[in-house]
Amino acid sequence: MPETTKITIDPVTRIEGHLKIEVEITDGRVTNAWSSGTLFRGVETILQGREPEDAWLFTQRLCGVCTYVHGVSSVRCVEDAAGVSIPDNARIIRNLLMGGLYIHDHPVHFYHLHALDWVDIVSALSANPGAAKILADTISPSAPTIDFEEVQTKLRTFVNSGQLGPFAGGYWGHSAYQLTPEENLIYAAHYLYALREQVKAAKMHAIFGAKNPHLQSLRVGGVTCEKQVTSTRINEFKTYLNQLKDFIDHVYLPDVKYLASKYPEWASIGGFNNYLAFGEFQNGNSPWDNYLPGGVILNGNLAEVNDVDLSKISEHVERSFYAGTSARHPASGETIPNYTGYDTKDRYSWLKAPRYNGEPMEVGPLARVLTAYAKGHTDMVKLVDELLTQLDLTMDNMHSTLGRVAARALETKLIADQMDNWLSQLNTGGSFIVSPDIPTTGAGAALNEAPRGALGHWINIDDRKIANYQMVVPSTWNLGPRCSAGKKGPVEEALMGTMVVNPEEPVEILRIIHSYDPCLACAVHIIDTNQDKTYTVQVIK
Amino acid sequence: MKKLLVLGVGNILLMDEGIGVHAIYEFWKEKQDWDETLVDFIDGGTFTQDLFYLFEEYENILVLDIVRAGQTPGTIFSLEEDQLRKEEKQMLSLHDIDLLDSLGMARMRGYCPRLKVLGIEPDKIDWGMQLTPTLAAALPSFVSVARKHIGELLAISIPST
Repeated sequence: MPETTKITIDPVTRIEGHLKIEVEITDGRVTNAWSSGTLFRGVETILQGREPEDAWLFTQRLCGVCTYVHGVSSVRCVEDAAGVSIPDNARIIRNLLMGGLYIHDHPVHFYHLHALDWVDIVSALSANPGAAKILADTISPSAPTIDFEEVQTKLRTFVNSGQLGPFAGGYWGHSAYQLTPEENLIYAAHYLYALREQVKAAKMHAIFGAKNPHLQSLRVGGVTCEKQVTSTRINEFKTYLNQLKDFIDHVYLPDVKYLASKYPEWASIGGFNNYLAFGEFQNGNSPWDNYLPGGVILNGNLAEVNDVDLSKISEHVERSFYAGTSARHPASGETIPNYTGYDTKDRYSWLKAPRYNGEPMEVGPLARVLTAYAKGHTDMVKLVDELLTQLDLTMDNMHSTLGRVAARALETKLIADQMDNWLSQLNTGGSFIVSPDIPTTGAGAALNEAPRGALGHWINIDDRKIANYQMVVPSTWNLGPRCSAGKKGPVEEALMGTMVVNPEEPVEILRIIHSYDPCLACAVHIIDTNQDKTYTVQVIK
Repeated sequence: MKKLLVLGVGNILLMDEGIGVHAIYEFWKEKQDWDETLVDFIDGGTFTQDLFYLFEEYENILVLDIVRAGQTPGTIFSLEEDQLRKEEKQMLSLHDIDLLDSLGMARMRGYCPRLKVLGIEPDKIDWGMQLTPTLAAALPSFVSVARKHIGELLAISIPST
């Protein structure tokens, strides 16, 4: 009998809920996986009976990371119900706000949430700072000059203080960390450098958002930041944007490419092959005409991208803690909690299992990038092809953990570059908002792309009040459980077959989970069935 | 650099979880009583580590949040940063990890303000916009204790209300 070890990765809940991953490992490889979590249950009860125009003020409080996307999705679904066309200026401001979020969130994900799965911070302490400088110049000659000795001293002080903060709980010294001390020091230095850039992105976001987090300038019918759209404020925005573009071009992208070159095997690990994108950054009034297009890709077949047909979306609850077994479309969705206890053979998650035409779909940067690529988006094709050539990889390698990491960086560059065009399209004298005529009875939907992936809000209005409100969020698509047909969710499937060197320190599993950018801070409980031991490990988000 | 940031954190959709934000709303009502060159009152909401950039602009931070310490709901606690680090993380509200990470990040960047947390034991955390009756009743004293702390941090005397 092959030896089977069970690992449970059970993170601590933060604002958006709780994610737990359980895997079975046989002969060093993942042979089964279950993803279990809680998200958003109960929010409907808060929204029911309220004014539709107020819903966004509540939905943007659902999550601390994705505040804007839930705000804009909400106003859009009400606009859809009201049949409102918003002014071009409002559409452009929303594109800029969403773009700002991508530029903020993606580098934060790479440097502060994901890099530590690849970069050994403790190893950086033994680096030769001079050698690191020479190497850094090779990786990116135009990167800002960094005093690596100073960074190393800072790190040492930090580590010696015993309060590791964001570095606590890393599997430092694990054999899966393949970078040299000098490489680790460069990434550690850029971790700190990226914090500074993150501040710029947050400040840029506040220019037209009035406030960060929980911005204030959205309304059903448009935006209210008209007074901020002056040449002074636009130039301020541009100054931040240009600095961020320098950072993306000379630090973020080169760092991603170099990391990929050092972990080539991860371009074949952790992939999935069904993708769904709703599209984002509207070119005009149609929600289906977007700078990043929507589409459906099945079985990794990029030769055929289908248009999204919303009627094909259903949410299964047969393996989730909700009453009933029938799969329903979100517009007629119901959320009746029915907790029956965690049982991987039966119900095991608070997440529903969204399916598209019955299939589990990956959403997020990789889905968007592949959809745009397959649809012949000129700039995207150029970026992807360049990347693959430089790394000596093929399109097949995009269906992987590294593909996800790279897609995030590529679309960050694409959007940052496009933001200049949007800025130039703002018409300072023009209209920014129209008065919506909210119907007494009606229904609306909004489909967007949050940085983490496809997001849908559905509203039903009755007696001019919210009768029902449903959301299908990116993490539900990616981290949802099995469906009625027993098909695994994307992350569950992506984990299958992964080699895990040391079940006590499952860094390989974390690499795959984190590559999806789940919006969760987590702790890990590992149960080794053979030795009846429980380890508790704090995971860096 | 301003003297003090009063940061209310929490999720107002989760009943008592949002009391820090509710307290900030109370302070906004008395905005004219405070010298805005010395102190800001910010609704941090469901913030994440990315609020650390704010930390660089203040000498002191007073966080208003819930603290779960197994005490009677409504019990008010004052904690210094080193106490936060020594105590079990789970004792604090859902935001503590980000709070400490934010401080760590600010420190690594070279500057870190002095942190104080004023917390209150919650009664119930579940979907709902209202505080529980217990915490709604405790809110005035929570705000009043906060007022006293603010006065101390600003080294000014606060008229008792």
